[in-house]
Amino acid sequence: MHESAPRSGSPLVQLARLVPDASFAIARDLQRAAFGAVRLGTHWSAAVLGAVASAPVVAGPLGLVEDRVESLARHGSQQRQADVLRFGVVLQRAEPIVTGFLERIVALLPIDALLARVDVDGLVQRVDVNAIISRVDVDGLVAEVLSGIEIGDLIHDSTNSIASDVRDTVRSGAASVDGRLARIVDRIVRHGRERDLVVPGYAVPGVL
Amino acid sequence: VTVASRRARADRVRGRRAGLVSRLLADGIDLVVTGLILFGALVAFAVVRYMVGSAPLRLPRVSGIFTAAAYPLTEWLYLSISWSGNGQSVGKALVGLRVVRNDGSRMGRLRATARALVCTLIGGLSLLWALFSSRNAAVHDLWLHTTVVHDWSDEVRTEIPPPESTLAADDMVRDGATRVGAQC
Repeated sequence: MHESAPRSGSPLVQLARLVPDASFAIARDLQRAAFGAVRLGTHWSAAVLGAVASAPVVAGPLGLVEDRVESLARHGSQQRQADVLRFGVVLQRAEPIVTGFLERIVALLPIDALLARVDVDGLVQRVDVNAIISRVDVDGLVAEVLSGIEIGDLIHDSTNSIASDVRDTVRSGAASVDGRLARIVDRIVRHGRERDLVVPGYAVPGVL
Repeated sequence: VTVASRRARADRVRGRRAGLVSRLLADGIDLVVTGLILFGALVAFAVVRYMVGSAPLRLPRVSGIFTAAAYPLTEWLYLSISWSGNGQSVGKALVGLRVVRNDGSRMGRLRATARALVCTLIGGLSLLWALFSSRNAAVHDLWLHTTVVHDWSDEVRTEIPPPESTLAADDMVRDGATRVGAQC
């Protein structure tokens, strides 16, 4: 705490340097002395008051005062509880009134007009969508989604299916035209006799 | 179109003799394929000439005579090779047709070569007879004892080997010519 000051200069200056620490030490001693005096005074005062209150001369009137104060305190507590109950009842009765009042206020407010005055487009324009999107890892998201899809197989299957449908449509159409044309020719030339169009055994799988 | 319905339709027409329109459609596709093959041959020739010599990469200028000779030759080779296998050229495979013998067995190489030659020379005209034939047979079918059937399946039908030893082009043509009147 105490720093050793260099002993240089005049004695008066050295003494001036010691003044703050000395003053602090004196103040602390005075504080301790004051607290001790108060504590001692309280102790003795309590002892004196206890002795006085226990004296028969003082104990009787003091008991009357105590009873009166106790009675007042009990009455005050009852009144306080009654006031709490009354306040709750008032709140319950006032709630629908207040609610209706607020609803009327809200109904009177031109909310639609207020909303119409709000520039939603302007607000949206102020939102930096690019910045938001830039914070989203779109590539990673797309890669994650695509990783679960076999694109090659999907394209292969769909392309095969489309090509097969087109091929079968062409085949069926050609065969149908064959039949119609043959019927027309047969009516004219062959007088309705049917053609021998089945190759024996060919249509049975595994025979040929 | 489901696989089941597709298979049902294929089974329904399988083995039935094809008519004029289907065969014309297949032959048209084969003509295009022949042109592509000829064009590919010219491109290959140009590339080889460019790599071997110092000439720039350029398609050779061909005369009309060359085209008139090379086109039928290419078609003949193409059809011969195609029909010698499973009886299908590209056009017939796309339309779902197959060239077989009258009994449904596979054609031999010699018969396929002869049929390709006849089809290359007079195929268009002889095919018109299929419109009036009771078996949808063209003239070259009557000569060579072949028929074109619907077959939408892709498997190769090789259960009955072709009797090559019995194939004699001259006898076959003569035999077919004598039966034209009886079959049509």
